[in-house]
Amino acid sequence: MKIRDFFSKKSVRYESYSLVITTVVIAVIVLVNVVIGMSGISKYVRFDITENKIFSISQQSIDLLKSLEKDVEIFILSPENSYTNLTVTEIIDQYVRNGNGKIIGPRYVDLDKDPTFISKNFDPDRVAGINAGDIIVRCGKNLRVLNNSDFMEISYDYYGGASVTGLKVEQAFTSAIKSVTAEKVNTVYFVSGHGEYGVDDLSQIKSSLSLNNYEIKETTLTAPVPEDADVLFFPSPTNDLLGSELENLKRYLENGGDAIFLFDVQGSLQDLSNFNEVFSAYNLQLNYDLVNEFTQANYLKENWMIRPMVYMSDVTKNLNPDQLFIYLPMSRSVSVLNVKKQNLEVSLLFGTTDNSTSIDLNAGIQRFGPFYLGALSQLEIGSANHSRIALIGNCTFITDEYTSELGSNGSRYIISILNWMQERKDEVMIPAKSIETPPLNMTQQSRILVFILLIAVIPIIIIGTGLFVWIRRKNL
Amino acid sequence: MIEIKNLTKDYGKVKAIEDVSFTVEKGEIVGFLGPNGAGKSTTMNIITGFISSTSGTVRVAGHDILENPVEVKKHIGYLPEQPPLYQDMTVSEFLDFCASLKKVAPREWKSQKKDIMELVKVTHVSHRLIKNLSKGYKQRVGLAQALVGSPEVLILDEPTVGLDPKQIIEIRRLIKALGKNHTIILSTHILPEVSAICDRVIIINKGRIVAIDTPENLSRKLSDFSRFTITVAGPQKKVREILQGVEGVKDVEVSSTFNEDEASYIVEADKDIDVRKPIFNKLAAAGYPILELRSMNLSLEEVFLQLTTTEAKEVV
Amino acid sequence: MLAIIKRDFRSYFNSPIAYVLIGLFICIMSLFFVDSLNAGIASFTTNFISSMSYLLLFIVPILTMRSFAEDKKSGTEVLLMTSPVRVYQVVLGKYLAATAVFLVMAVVSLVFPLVLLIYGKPDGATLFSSYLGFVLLGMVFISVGIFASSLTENQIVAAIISFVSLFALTSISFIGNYVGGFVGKVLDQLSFIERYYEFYYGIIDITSIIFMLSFAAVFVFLTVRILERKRWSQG
Repeated sequence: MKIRDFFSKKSVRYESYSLVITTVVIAVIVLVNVVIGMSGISKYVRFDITENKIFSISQQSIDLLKSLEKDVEIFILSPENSYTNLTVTEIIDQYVRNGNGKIIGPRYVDLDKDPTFISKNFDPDRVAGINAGDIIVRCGKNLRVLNNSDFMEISYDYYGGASVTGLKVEQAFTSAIKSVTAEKVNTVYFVSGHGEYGVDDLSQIKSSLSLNNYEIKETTLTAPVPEDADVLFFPSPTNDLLGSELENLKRYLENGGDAIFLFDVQGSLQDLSNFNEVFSAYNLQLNYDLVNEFTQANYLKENWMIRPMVYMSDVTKNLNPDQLFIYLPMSRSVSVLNVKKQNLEVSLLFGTTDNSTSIDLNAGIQRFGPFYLGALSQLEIGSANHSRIALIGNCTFITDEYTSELGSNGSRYIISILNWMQERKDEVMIPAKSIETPPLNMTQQSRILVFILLIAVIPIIIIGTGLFVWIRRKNL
Repeated sequence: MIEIKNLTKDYGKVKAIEDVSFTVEKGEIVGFLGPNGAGKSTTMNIITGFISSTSGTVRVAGHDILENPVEVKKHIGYLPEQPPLYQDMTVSEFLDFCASLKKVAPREWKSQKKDIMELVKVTHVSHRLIKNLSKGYKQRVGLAQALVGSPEVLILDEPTVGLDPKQIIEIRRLIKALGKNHTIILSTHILPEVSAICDRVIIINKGRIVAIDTPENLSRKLSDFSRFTITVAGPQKKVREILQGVEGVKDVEVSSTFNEDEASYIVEADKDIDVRKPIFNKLAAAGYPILELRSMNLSLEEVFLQLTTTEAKEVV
Repeated sequence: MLAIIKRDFRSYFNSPIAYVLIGLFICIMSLFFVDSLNAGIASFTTNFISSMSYLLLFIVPILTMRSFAEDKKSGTEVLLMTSPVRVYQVVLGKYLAATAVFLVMAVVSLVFPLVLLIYGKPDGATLFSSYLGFVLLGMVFISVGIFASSLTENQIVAAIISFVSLFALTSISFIGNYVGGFVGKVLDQLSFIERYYEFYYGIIDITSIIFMLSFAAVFVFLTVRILERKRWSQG
C-alpha cells in the first residue's frame, strides 16, 4: 500500500487524530496542574478553616513581617519528604506569603546527604547540640534554633501529668524573627558568687529567655556591672553581698539599671541585710520565713505548695493567670514598707489568701496572712530615667527540676517582668492555640446505645431495605 | 432515504465488507440476505453508527453518519442481533428509559408507549422484569425499543432468529405492517422470509454485494443459465461457429485458450431457451467433446444453496 | 445524559448492591468511630479518616465494575451508542450515576458527625472539609473505576483492575518518599491520600480541588477515547 493511501484511510486518519487529541488534552490538564503547583499560587488559595486557626498567623505577626527590612532565611534540617509537621510547614508558608519576599525558604537540608552543611554555614558555637528535624531561623549572622518543644504548650494536671494542650508555632517563629532581626539585643546578666543556682539548674529559663530575644551572660558583682547589662538576675542568692558588691549594685541601680531578685527559703539563717538595704530603697523587704497556704484551691497537696493569687499589674495584664497557673513551692514572704517616698511606685505580683500562715524561721513566731510573695517596684531617677526591680520569695519555680515536673509557666511571668522592665510593649503576647479536642458528653449508657445503633441497627435497616426491594422485584 | 457508497470495513487484513453500495428509498422494506458471516451485521452496525467504516459513506435522511451522527441516530431505530435489553428492568421501565434516551417528548410518549406495546403485544407483560420473559417476548421488547420515538428508518438484524415458527410468522406480519410507515432494512439468512416481507433484496456474500433486485426477479435469475462458460476440445473457429449456430445463443466469446485444440468460451443464451442440450448434441456430432460446462452466476447460486440448506435445517 | 444517570442510579438501588455497600460501610466505619466515643472527643480520629479512604479502595471497584462491563456483555452498549447521544454523555452519565450512589453513601455516613453534634460541640468547619476531601477522593477513585470497567466485559476483571490501580495510586506517596528527588516530587504531587489528610486537618486548598477534579476528568476523558476507539477497531 502506498503511504499516501495509507494516510487517506479513514481509520488511520482517525487513529492519528485521536492520538493527537488525547495527548493534547492530557498534556494541557497536566500542564495546568504543574503550572499551578509550581507557581506558588497554592499559597494564596489555601484556606485554614479550623476553628482555632491552627494554621494561620495573627495580625501581630503580619505587622512584624510588614516592618521587616532584612532578609530572614528559614532552614529545616530534614529531607522535605520526611518532614511531616504540617502545622509548622503551613505556618512557615504563612510567613513567606506575608513576608513581602523578606522571608526566604523554607529550605530543606538533608543532613545525611549534606553532613557539612551546618559547619559550613553557621557559627558552630551557636548551633551546638543541633539535631536533625530542628529549624534554623537566620538573618545575617544572627540565628535562632527552634525545635518541636518550642512549638508545644504543655499543661500539667492536678497530679502533675503532662499533656500537650496547645501549639505555639507562631510564637516561636515570630519571636525568632524578632530576635534575629533586632538591632540591639537586651542582655540579662545572671549573677553568681552568692550561692545562686548554677547554669545546670536553670537551662529551661535560659532557653526561654533566649527564645524571647534576651542575650544571657554571667557576671559576679566583684567588678562594676558591665555597661551592656540591661537586667541583673539573681537566682536565689544564699549569701549576702559584700560591701564592694553592694556598692557596684547600688551604682548600677542608681544609673537606671533593673534587677530581678528571687529568693528561696533558706535552711539556715543568713543575714541578707545588704540585699534588704537595696530593697528598702524600693520600699520592699524580704522576710526570713516559710509561708503556708490553707485555702483548698490555692495549694497543691501540701500547704507549702502554694498556688499564688496573681495581682493585676503592668506585668500580668497580658497573662491569663487562670490558664497560666504556677505553684510556688516553699516560699518566703515579701513586705511592702510604708515609708512615704516620692518617685516610687510599688505594685504587687503574687500573694496568699487570708487563710495562710508564716513561720519565722529565726524566732519561730507564727503570723497570719495574707502575705505577699512577690512585688515590683519602680524608682524614678530624674525625669527621664527609672530603675525597676522585682522581688519574689521563691526561685524554685523556675528551676529545671520543677519545670520538668510542673511546667514552665513560671518563665512566662519572668519574661513578662523582663519585658516590663525593658518596656517592650510589642512583645509576643499571642496566646497558644488550643489543640484540645472538644469533649463528647455522653453517659456510658448512651455510648453503648449509639454504638449499637451505628454498627447494627442502621446497617441492618439499610441492607434489609435492599433485600426487600430485590426480592420484591426478583419475581416481577 | 438511505444512501450507502463504497462501504469497506477491515479488521486488520481481513475485510468484513468491501465496496458495498446501495440505496434504500423511503417506505421500502429491504431484505439483507446472506449466510452467516457475510457482513450483514457489520453493515448494519456501520449504518447505525455503532462502529465506523474504514472507508465509504453512509447518509441517512441527508445526514452523514460521521459528520452528524446524532442527527442520523435520531432517524434510526435499531434492533441488533442480540436485543439490547437491561435484564433488571421491567418492560415499562425499559421503554421509558429508551424514550428519554431518544428524547421523545413526555407528552407524546404516553400515547406512543401504549401504541407500541399494543403493536408488539407486550402490554400484558409490561410490569414484568425483562429477564423473566421468554425469548419471543424479549425479541418483541427489542423491537418495541427500536420503535420508540417512531424513527423513519428501522434496522432489524435477524429479527426472527431463535423464535418458534408461530412467533416467526407473527413477527413477520408485524414487520410487514410497520413497513407502511417506516423504511426498513432487515437482515436474514432465511430465503422465504425475504419473499414474504421484502420489496427488494440485497444479497451479500463474503463481504460483497452479489445482487440487488426484487425477490421475484431474483428467483427467476436463479434458474437462468443465461451466462455460462464452456470448455471444449476442438479448433476455436469451428467450435465458435457451432456454438453460434445453436438456436437461442446470442453471443460467444473466447475467454481463455489452453492450447490449439482446447479453449474456454463464454456463452450468452436466451433466458427462455435451454441451450445446453442442443450445444451438447451439435458438438458431439462434430466430434468436439465438452470438457466443462459451468454457470457464471455461481456465487449467487452458492449463496442460495447455503440459504436454502440452512432454512431446511432450521425449519425441521 | 440525564436518562443514563437516572437509569444507572436506579439500577444500583433496584439490586441489593448499593444497599449492601452502604450498610457495610456504616457498619465497618462504626468500628473506628468507637475510638471517638470511648475517648469522649467530638472529632474524627486519624484512624477513622484513614479507614474511610481505605474502605473506598474496596467499595469503588464494586460500585463501578458494572458500569460498562455489564452493558458490553448484555449488548445494551449498542443501544446507548446508537441512540442520539454523544459518547461523552454516555460516559459522563455513568460516571455521575456512580458518583451519585457514592454521595448517597456519604450522606448516610453523616450519622457519625451527627452523633458528634448531638453530644458535643465539634469544629464544624473541619468536619465539613473532611467530608469534602472524602467526596473528592471518591470522585477520583470512581473515575479510575469507570475507566477500568470500559476495558473489559467481565465485571470481576474490571473490579480487579480498578482495585489494583487504586491501590497503586494510594501507595504512590510511600513510593515517592522512598524514591526522593524529582521523581519523588512528582509522585508526591500525585498523592491523593496526603491531599485528603490536609482536608481532614482543616486546610482547603483550591489547587488540590482543581487537581483532584482534573485527575477525574482525565480518566473520564480516557474512557471516552477508549469507547470511541472501539468503534473504529472492533465490530
